[in-house]
Amino acid sequence: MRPVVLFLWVQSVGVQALACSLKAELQHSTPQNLVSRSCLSSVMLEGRWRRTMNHTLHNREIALDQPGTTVLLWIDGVGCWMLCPGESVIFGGPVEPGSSRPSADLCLMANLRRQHARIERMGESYRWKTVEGDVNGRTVRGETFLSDGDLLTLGPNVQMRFRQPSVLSASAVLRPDNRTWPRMFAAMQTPGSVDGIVLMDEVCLLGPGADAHVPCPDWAEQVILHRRDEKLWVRTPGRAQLDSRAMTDASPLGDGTVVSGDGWRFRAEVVGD
Amino acid sequence: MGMLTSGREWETMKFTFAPESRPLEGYTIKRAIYRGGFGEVYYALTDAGREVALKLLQNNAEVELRGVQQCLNLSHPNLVTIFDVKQDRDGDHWIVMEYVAGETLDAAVHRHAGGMPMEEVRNWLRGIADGVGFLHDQGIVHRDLKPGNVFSEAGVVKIGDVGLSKFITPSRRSAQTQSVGTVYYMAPEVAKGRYGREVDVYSLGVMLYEMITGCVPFEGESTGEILMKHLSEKPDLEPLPPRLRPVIDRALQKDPAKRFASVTELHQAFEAAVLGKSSSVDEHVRVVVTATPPTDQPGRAPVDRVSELEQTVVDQATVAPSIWRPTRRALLFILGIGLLALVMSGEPGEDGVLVAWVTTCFSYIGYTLLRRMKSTWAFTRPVLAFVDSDSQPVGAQGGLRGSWVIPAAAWAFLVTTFARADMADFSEVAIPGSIGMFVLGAILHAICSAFRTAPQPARTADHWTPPPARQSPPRPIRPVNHQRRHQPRRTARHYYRNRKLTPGAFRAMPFRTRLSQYANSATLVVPIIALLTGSVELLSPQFFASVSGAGPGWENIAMFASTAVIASWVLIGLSKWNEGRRLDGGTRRLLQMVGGVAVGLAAYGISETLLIAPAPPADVYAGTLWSQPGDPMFVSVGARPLFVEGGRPSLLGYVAFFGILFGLRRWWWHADAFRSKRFRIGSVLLTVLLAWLVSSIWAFPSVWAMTWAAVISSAVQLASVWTPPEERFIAKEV
Repeated sequence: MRPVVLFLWVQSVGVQALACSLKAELQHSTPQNLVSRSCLSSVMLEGRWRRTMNHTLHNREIALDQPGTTVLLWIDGVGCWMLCPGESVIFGGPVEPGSSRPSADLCLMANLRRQHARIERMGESYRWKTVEGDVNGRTVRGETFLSDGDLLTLGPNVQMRFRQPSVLSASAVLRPDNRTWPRMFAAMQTPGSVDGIVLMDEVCLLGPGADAHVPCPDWAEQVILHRRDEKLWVRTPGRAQLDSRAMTDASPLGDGTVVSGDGWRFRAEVVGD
Repeated sequence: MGMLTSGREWETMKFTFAPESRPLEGYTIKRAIYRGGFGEVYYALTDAGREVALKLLQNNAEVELRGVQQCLNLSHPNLVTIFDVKQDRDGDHWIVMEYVAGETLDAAVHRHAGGMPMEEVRNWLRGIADGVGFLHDQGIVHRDLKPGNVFSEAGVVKIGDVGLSKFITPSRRSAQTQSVGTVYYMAPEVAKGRYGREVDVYSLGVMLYEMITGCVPFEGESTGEILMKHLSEKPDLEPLPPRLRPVIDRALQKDPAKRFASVTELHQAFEAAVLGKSSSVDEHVRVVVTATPPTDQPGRAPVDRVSELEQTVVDQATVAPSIWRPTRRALLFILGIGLLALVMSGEPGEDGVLVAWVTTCFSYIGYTLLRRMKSTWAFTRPVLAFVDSDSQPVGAQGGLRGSWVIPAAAWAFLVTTFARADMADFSEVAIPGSIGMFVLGAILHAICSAFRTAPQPARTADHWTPPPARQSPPRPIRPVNHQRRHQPRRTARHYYRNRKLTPGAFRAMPFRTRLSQYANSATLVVPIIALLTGSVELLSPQFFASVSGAGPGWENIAMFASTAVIASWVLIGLSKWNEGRRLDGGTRRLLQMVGGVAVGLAAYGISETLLIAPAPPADVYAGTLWSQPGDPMFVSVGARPLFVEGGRPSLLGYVAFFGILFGLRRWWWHADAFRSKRFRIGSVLLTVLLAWLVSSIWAFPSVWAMTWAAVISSAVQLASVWTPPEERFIAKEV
């Protein structure tokens, strides 16, 4: 063989070895990613759950299978977040006086029709249908599929940003863009300020990272709410208290349960029929 | 008191009251909002469902109560309304006030890293000035103005914490002389204990400074240090726009008598400075405003003035159009120079045309270089202003892309029809001639442009950026306040998915990603080129035929393949290095040209080492279609030949070919991860065409040139990382 060809061959092998070693090194995730991903994966894949000993008996457990159930999360230092576990949410204007039931799942104090728009989860993606409004500035006729970062407009004044922050979950988040958005309510509450809406699929993440559905920038750890057996469970990485009792790892949430941990606290409340 | 039961080993809960607590009759606490200097604030609902904010006063309750009582019946659209003051069962006082759902000015300032847009600053200022002005009219000093206390709800600015306001008493000396609030915004005389409503003017001045630049004027490690600076150090006004400096300077005067007497005056002066109208506010302000260097022309609308204001500060930031596309005027200008050269050379035959062609090329290169250097010489400025004032680049409106090629090609056609290859003396005629033409033309146009109005300066973005030295966020102060001060910003990464991302998309890639992708591609290149070389050998066995004629010449194969590999490595490396960066095409091509020169050197080195000729004797030098075969346009550059005897290209020949080929073609599009298709035959064919053109102008074996071009182009495309459109995402800093 000519020395030239040999030289070329050796060269390519050397470069290949270098590439392999670089690739191996780059596949290591950062520790935080590892932790949150393993937490999430254990939530998704684990077969048996460890039951908590101090399961609270005071509050009725939140059942997610009943239609029209909405869960409010009152989170200290963060805000009031609405969790919609259903497959679809209908937005509408305020309830007309004289009607006993609202015609929409979420009533916004804005100039909207009674049933103005609907967002529906279909597998991994979301379908949006509105009577009057646009997506990213362009009018929508009929239905459209939403993608991460879309700006949804309902009527003249209401704007929401649609996001799917976590790659591991199909849950979506609707938030006001920069300005505030109208007060809203579900069922027959009084209208209140809501800081965001989570359309929960299997999982809702609360925490400091960019993949959290409910951003809590000052928290040191991430808390996971997940659906299991049509109940809402909470899972924390560190120690936490559930209604003043110590909680290990995971526990179902009841209506009115207060969960608190190292530097955070929130309360879950059911609103619905 | 609602505290959690004992038995906890970890950190105490931040807030005293738990959700659903009812310390006051008729109110239910739902969640905590924050903990401030005076106590904790909670979000609560009345029994009927009315939203309120409940503020628990824990320390110094007497001081606040006195202050709050006077504010109980104040009502103004820009003030957070106080509904009531109540006492709970344990004797603690609660302020019941309006709940404002919206972001604080604090959050808004941190959202805009380098300062807010001027329109937004003016909106905030208007609301704050109206609210504080109303308070002053009632005889109340706020005393605790800071961005954490100012909210914006649906576009309406609301000032909170009005409970801290102090009555202006005639004695002006208060018994309680505690420092309150965050010291960044505290006027110097507050520390001395004597103050009136000018302290609010000072605080507003500090807030304006922070809104515009993103940082407070006085920072420090401790309260004492900051207070010292408030007392003695002059604020650095340099990051502010020049027109606003006198306004902020006056607002931040240490002596209260020298400041604006009221926030309304500050507001008016600020507006006057921003809009450029010299309103009859203040002698001091007016005088200083006209002292700033005049930049505009009379008769401009106020809107223009605002953007001009920002323009005067940012001289460096200009919009860079693609420098390879001359504007229409510039193109005419260049062709005109060529025509002039033709006429003035006095020889209408072949030599004259050649001179004109070369002159045109040099003018084009000179023009491009001048634009690149941003006109450092005085006489070129009016020239460029003239030619660029018609700011439509050729082909920009969806016409033919890169249509500067067309006139160049037309000239090439003419020239090659008439010209012969005797170029020995062009260096003596054309180079000085064309430079002289350009200089003459520039001087002429400098004279002409003196009689024209200056063209519109390029509009920068509305957002004005301060010089980068002032970008550091303020440091947190721990001992002063329980209120959460901003930590060093944790930038959140949001991933933006879009199938429509193109190679032009700007994205940030860490160095390791680039390196790993490059290593991947580089290793793939070798087998691909081996494959392609093998197929060339199969398709045309005489291609690599050695001189001896017996069997394939391994030296030829090695030479071809190794040059192709090195060329691909260089191209992929350059593309990967610059992928996603904001570079214009001209810079990239320049880098590629340098890479090509290096490849040419390497190729020459290899060919000399292996002592081979990449072609059988000279009849492989195909000339252009219209001239005799064996007759490329340039066989030498000046006195140096492009090929030596035996038909081998000289060093210069290699360098010229690779340098020009790399410098002309848009190679980075071949290698970008976001290109539209992994492999495009059209790209390969275009590269081949270009290689043929280059080799017919500057002598180089054409067949080898075209084959090299095909192989390199294919290898680069096949080996480079390609992301299918569904998986394309770029990380956006939030």
